[in-house]
Amino acid sequence: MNRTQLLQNNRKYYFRYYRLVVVAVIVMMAVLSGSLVLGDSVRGTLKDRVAERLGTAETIITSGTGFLEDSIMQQPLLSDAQGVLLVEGFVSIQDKLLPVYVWGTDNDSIEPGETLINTPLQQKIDDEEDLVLHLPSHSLVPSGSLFVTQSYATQMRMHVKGVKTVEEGGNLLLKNEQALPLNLFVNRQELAEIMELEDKINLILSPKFIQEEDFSAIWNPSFSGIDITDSTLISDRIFIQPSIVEKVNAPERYFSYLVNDLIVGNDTVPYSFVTATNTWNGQPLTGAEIILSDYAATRLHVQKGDSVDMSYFVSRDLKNLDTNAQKFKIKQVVPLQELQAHTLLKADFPGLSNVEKCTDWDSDLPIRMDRIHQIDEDFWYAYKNTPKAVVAYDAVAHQWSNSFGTATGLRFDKPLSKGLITMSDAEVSVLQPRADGLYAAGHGTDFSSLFLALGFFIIVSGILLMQNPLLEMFTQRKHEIQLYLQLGYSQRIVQQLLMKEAAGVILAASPVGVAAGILYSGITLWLLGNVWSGATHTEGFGLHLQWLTIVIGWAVGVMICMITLWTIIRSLQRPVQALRLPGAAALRKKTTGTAFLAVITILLVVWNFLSLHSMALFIVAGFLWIITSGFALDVCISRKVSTATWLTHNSMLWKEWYATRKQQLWAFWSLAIGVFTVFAVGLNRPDFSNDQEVTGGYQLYVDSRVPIQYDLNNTAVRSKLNLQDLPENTRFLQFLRHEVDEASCLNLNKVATPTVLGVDLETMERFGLEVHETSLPAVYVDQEALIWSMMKMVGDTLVYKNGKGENIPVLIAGTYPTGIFHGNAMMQQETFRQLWPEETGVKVLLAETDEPQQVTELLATALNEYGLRIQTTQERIAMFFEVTDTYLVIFLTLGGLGLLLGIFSLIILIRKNMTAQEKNIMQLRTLGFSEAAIREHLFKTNVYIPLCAIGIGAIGSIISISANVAGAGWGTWCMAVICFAVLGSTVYYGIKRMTFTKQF
Amino acid sequence: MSAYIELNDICKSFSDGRDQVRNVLDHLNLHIEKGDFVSITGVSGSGKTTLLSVLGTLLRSDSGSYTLNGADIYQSDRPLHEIRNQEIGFVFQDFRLLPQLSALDNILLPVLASKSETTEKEQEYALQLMEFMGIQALKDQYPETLSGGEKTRVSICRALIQHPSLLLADEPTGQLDAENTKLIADLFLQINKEMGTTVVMVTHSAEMANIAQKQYRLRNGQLEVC
Repeated sequence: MNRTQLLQNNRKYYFRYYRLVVVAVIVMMAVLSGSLVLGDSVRGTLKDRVAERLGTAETIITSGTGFLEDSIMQQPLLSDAQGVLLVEGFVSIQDKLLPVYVWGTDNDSIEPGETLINTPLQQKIDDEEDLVLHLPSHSLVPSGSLFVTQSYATQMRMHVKGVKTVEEGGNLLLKNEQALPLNLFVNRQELAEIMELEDKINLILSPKFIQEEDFSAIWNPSFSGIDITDSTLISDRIFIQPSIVEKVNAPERYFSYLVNDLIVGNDTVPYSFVTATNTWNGQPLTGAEIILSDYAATRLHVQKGDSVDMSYFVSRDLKNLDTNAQKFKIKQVVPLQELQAHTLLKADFPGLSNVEKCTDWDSDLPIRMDRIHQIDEDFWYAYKNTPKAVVAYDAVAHQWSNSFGTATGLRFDKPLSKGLITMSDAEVSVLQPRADGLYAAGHGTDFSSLFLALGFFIIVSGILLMQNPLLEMFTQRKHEIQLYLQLGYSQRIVQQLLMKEAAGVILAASPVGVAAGILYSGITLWLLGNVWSGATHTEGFGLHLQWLTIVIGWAVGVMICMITLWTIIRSLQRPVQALRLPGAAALRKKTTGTAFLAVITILLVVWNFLSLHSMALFIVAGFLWIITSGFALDVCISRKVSTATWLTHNSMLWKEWYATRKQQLWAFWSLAIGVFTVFAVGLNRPDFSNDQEVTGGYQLYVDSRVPIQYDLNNTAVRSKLNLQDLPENTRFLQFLRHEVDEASCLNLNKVATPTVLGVDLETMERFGLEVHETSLPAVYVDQEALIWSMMKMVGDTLVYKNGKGENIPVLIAGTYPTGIFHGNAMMQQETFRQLWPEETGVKVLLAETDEPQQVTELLATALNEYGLRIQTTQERIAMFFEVTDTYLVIFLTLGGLGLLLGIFSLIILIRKNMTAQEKNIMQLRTLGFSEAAIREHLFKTNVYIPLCAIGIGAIGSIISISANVAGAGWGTWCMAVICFAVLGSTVYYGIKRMTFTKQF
Repeated sequence: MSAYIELNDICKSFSDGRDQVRNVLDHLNLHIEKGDFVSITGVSGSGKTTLLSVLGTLLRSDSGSYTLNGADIYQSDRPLHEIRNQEIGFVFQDFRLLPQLSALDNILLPVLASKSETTEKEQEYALQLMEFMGIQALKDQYPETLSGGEKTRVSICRALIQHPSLLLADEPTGQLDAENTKLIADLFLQINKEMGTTVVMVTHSAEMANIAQKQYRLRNGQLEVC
């Protein structure tokens, strides 16, 4: 014989205990290693999504809010690349509004009128074959400027030709998000024509790594619509960016403008083009000087030296128009033909310059056509947009300039040096998104630790489930263990033998546990994409196995099992303490201490309920309640035992409990704390119905796909947009938006730069935002997004790219409570405009109204071209908190499973105790106790304290959520009551079965 | 010349649940020569099992000295478990056979205390012991199929496998009938005479007590010669 055979014999003989150990090891290892595999799988899926959304693109070149000539694609550097015109639009299907990305490409052989869609969009539109695609109406001139056409949206009717699969690049998306985009692929030429962007692209996707220097070497300003000759510079976007104007520092600047009137007394020339410049015929033009055309001088009956008034519109925020007027003194009257011959005096504003008649003007300005007479039409017919006057640049520049430009033309003496105007002046930037995307995917929400925490109770219960059968087995074998010692086995050898015996079982079960863990993570991934999709808003999670993770999970699980085993074996050697009855002084001390704790607990609950309303303190109170109850139980048992005189059935119960009180107390606290934790967390659902900070008191949240260039609080605008029926007390709070990454809980990737909303931050005080003075541009981020999505702190710096593609540090100056703006960073409006001057128009609105339903209907009808998605603020909150709610459901589910397992192991513990008391039980039989009386006594000894523990834990959890009882909702409360009932009845009937069926 | 076993001034006490102390062995002295056969009797609770546990190094006395073969047990460099394994054999009233091992394996169990496997020589010796006891046919049987007498003989073989110089028996015939009691009594005598093993036996049975050449009674924590 050898020791190995001895161990094998032992394992075979005591298999009925070891099979429970096997189950426990498998359960624990499954949750442990499964959680780790789950984390890898989510990260792996997110990385797969990076590959899906970037396709083969290693380099992305964007032109910001501007465009590039498609002729740049002829460059050898871009031979493998694809030029794209990318626009955000929306598709309306039945009552649904689907935000889409429209990719105008030259590939894919898409004919005009046809479109390829990706699979997620196909799933949304079912069998629809024809779509109406709504797009923002673009031209080269920025929409936020004054001289654009009236329509901000346009449409295309498309026939769905087919589906572009993932492998074919159907899920292209430039943002770090795992949510699948809704993509349409259309013929680029067709798209460009609809949007008046012929021969333009705004995106280049290259499968090669292209360094910024290499692209810069092939780029020249003409590719960005900046036309430079030896002496002049103009832009196809009409307005020349301020940075370019400053860099060129041309001696002659020109700014063409449509003014309302030139007035002298009763004589008026309406709606004339006037150009501002700083020199005329080599002479400076300054102050209030005007060069008038002879045409205008004739109509106004003026001559050199006379004064002329000029009125014109200027735009404040969101095209709130003011009318300004200035007086000029005529410096010179010149022939109109001279002005006509000067090309830089004219600018080709779309909708204004290229029409036959004045009455054909298509402009967003409130032009009164009744003021235009035949004389004006005759002028237009002959001279089109030739200016009728030239004014000093300095007189009007600060009024006419805007964030899009400070000039419409430049003239200089000598050719500009090569490289003076850079790509960043034209908003062109070169990006390698794959590394960033993979980093964001790999460092986002950590599902490993999340599910280890959620499955904590299952792991603890698994440990108890392993511990209790081992304890029972070793209790049964205590004579055997004594025998080894008596036969001369050293303590060390005995411990080693027991360790090896059980360790063999653990090691054999562990790979099964790991396999179960892989199955567990597979099931969980499916649940996360389906039943629990409220937590992730993502489908199609895939299992990604990494051997290192599996080995680590296995090793940690085995280590936990071995430590548990070692603790049990060590405890076997501890000498049994002789039973001592409680002394009076010790009992008095315990009673006083417990009473003190009870008073503290009650005072805390009452004070918090009446005054403080702190959630954290309620949780502390609930926990204290449980601890105090345990001590009270101990005091109660000790008192009963020390005061008992005659032996009764009841006093036997108290004496039994006293004899095992340490074990009873630990079981009580474990079960009570387990119940408390599971239910206090699971029932703790916030209630926002009266929370001003969350909604700011606004009723509607509106997201616009097409930027709204108007101030909806302006009465004239409401009339213009057919919103005159809005209830009078309806007020809108309007936000600019610079879209980067989604930083809400709906995005599982780590977010480096969240989307920014620009607003007057004083209006955000209603949302609990406190503004601080800072030296850097600052943002305020909501608390949840800061911690979980961005993993940053107040005081950290974010790096945003401004409109020119330059990296700008932005300070996180503070936070605001998580609410309807979850995931967004708030920035002062002025700072926003400095960073992103081209991003005009409102994309987010809040509406404060007494008639939210009516306002919703009016907005949806009047602004149907803008792709509005309107939600109540409560719906929006619920959308975000669905994530938290789902995690709480998962916690309740897994925690509840863990508790059930814990109760199962408690029952095994009771069985072990009964085994230990077998001789006592036999003795009772010998003394004449009936079988029924013995079983009844055993049942009462073992059932009261666990039931009490469940009750105490339940009360503790109710205390902890007493500030927010309504938050959980009826459904959750019903589930909680059912869980309590299941736990209680499992304890009751499980112990009953055990005590009435165990054979002695 | 010192005796083979010397217990000098041994005291051992236990406390009950109410902080009251009971002196089980009270300045006890015992001298046993090598090859002696000693029986110890006494009423229930007199401390017989405690005395045997002290002799078997399972319990340490509160005071006094214990010398075995000239060496002070409590001062020796040799670990007590080694002494127990090599020098002392135990026979218990309730046999204490492991149910998962066969009779032969139960007999060989003490060998594995000091090494990981038994040698052929040891296995042969075990079989010889079984033959000596008349139970060689039971070598592959498991304890639950053996009678009380057979179990006692198996446990005696186990006690002798390491060639101990001292054999301690605690009520070895407590669960046996008269016939088996006589059988066991004869075996103990044989072991004592033929193997020269010193035997100390605790018993209630007068018949078993009388086979010993030296008889003691344990009373009030001290030994009296019968």
